[in-house]
Amino acid sequence: MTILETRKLSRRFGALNAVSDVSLSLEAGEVRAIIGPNGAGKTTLFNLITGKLAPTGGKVIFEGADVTGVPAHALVRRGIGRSFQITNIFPRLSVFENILVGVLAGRGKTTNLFASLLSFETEAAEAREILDRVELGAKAGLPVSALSHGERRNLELGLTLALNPRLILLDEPTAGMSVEETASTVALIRRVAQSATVLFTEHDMGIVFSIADNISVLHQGSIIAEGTPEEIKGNRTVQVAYLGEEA
Amino acid sequence: MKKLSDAAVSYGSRPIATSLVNGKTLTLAGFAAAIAYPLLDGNLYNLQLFTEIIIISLLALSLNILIGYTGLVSLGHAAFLGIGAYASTLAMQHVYPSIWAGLTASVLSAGIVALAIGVFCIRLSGLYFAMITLAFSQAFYTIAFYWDSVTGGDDGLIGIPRPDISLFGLTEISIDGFVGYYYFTLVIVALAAYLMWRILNSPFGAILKAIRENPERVEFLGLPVYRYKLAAFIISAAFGGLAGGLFAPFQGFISPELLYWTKSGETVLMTILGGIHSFLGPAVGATVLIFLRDTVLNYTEYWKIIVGSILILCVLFAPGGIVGFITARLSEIFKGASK
Amino acid sequence: MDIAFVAAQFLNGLAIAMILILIASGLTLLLGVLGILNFAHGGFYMLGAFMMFSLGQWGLGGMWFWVGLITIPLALALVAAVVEICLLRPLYHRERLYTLLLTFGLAMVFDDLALLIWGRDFKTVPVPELLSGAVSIGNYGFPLHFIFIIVVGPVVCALLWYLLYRTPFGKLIRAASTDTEMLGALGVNVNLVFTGVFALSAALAGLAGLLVAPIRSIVPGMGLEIFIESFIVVVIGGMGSLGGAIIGALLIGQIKAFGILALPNFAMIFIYLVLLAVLIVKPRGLFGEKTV
Repeated sequence: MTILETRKLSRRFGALNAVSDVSLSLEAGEVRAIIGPNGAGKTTLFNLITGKLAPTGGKVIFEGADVTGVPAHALVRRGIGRSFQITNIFPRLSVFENILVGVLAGRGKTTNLFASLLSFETEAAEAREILDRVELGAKAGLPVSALSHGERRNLELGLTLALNPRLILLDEPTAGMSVEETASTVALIRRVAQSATVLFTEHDMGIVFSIADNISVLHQGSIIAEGTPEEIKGNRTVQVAYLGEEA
Repeated sequence: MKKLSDAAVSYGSRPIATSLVNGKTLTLAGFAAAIAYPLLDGNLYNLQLFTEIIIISLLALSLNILIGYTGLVSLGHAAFLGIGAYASTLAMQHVYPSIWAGLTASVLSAGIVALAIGVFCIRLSGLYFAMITLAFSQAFYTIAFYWDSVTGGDDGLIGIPRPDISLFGLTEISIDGFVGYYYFTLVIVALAAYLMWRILNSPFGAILKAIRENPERVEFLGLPVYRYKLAAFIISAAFGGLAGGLFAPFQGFISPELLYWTKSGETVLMTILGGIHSFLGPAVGATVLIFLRDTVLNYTEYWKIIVGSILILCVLFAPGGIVGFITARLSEIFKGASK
Repeated sequence: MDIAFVAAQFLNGLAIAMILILIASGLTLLLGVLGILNFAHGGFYMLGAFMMFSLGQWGLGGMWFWVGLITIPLALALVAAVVEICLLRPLYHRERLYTLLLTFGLAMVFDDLALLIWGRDFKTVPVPELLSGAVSIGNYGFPLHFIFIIVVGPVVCALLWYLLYRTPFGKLIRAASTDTEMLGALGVNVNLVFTGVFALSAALAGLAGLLVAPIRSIVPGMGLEIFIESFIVVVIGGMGSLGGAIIGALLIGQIKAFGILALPNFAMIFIYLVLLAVLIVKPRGLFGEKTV
């Protein structure tokens, strides 16, 4: 089943074609990497898919419905989750509160004005479970300021997971992480991918080749190649346009 | 740029602050002291001062729903004190002479006005929100000042009653005396504060805090931030209105002065002075400021200079407020002791 | 309502607009360059009027108004520079709302300070001799002083434009409003630019205050009153846009002048209605571009 499809998706900024005629198709359960040099249009593409930017052309189809132009918060409700390139959490809430807020939002419980937070045991249990999944179970009570950079990224991923998205977009999930943190995040993404479709961008080719089922190569706003890691490794166009530059 | 709410964190050691100031024990002890007070001190002047402190504490607590919990600084909160006071007076004098009618009118009118202007104010953020709330409050001041036939204009309204309250039709209780009204105020404010506390510790309250921290991210949790802010604005105003509804019978007369911008300024100062990061901090601020005013007015009529200067000093040197300041000192002592 | 009356009323509105422009342009500069909303801004306007009152008392051989026209803005610029350096500068690295609270406190201090120095009763200042005549419009005599205000407004605007767009200091100010950090990195003394802009805004507000001194009663509350009106001008015109502020001021000036005829005590209501309409249709103001 196709979960996400973009049809000739385009976005111009003045004279610049940041994204032009991108047509992607993701199967449910797939892990897809979008790679490409800086400025290839990866973040713009993500912004278009998550509704943060309106496309200047083309369509976004999510689970069979045309969602082009649907605002960001409504897309979240439909099941598209996103983790940001810049760590984007609630800095002065505790680690646990961060996730609990997410779970409550995901379950539509946030309009309850009078019930004590403590009475939401199901949600609290789910929040603890998510914290375990992102390996922060032991730090639940700490303020966010006590977390390392890598842990904050995990917390952010947890916040995204709290909404139970069926499609998760990860923007450079390992950026700025140490080697150990990277390894644990890679393992985490693998686990996340068992229950959701993942679309991610990443600079580190080692990570890309080890977790992606399929790779789309974005170059100057257009998809220039698509295929399994093996196919991409052997693709001449890609080597010239992208890998070749780095080698 | 640092957030206003960073201040307390820079003092470190929030858990101690919360357990000390929000702690059930301390709150209950304070409540018990408040109940016992009229029995211990027969001085009616002091009793009146404490009645005022209790009412104005409610006003400061209600403002903190916006400042401390939602991250919206309103500079026109006294408008709701005034609207509540006028509404309750008019309701009691012209509609039905019951304190309950007065209080209901004060809460409803403040809430409805907040809905009407909040729809516009909430569209603006930060400095512009602060300013536009002030602009609206001054508009209400102007209305109260010139609408002679209803508000009594500059002279205000006098002869505000304190009707007896009927307890389930069984017995009538008089709240006309100083002691009676003190207890009545204490009970109503305690109930209101409890309700506020419940709201702030509900899932809704958690979202308000999340909005304070990072509104964009809340949008990405799939929630309409605008409506949550508007709800917070209305709730805050309704409690502010209730304070007004209690204040009118307390003072016995009301005038446009209640809505004047300096009154809003005092309320902001109480909130900041007490500390915006503890639920009861603003009540501490209200207590300190009212005592201070009472003392200062014995020596000079230039009260605004004092309030303004304290606000300036507070912003420059103690942005965490009194509670934050004391907490910081305490946590230093605790750290020292544990070494 | 005959034509001459409407014309006189229109000129009245124009004079009100000029005063608002002087206040609102300072407010806009502060918002654009320092990123602050200065609550005490109206305080400088009030002080300007009170200082003019004192000069009027001294007389200075009939030259009091003209001496004040020059010295009062300079004196207030000096006061403002001290305030900026001592009180505001320590707060720039903190959130802007702290600055707002500080200036809020400052506004309260200014109000009482004026009471302390000048006392409680209403003050009036005579119209300077040279401007005490009237121009006749049909059957109506239109005071010369209003004409003077209408002339001074555009002159000051032109000077301000020259300062901002034709001088090196203006270049720095405009650069600071786009990217302060960059300016700092280029070795420019950003602090000096900030102090300069703050002093300039206070001088403009003081100028407005001294200009209206002869045509209204002088009370401490006047500072806040004009501050709110000019803030509404800024919101209507588009936050951060000088041109927008000018057009907003012209609009509000006319609304005030003609609104007073309809509802003498509630002319403000018309201004609020316009404000609400703008906020519904264009939440960023008529000429606003910047995200708030």
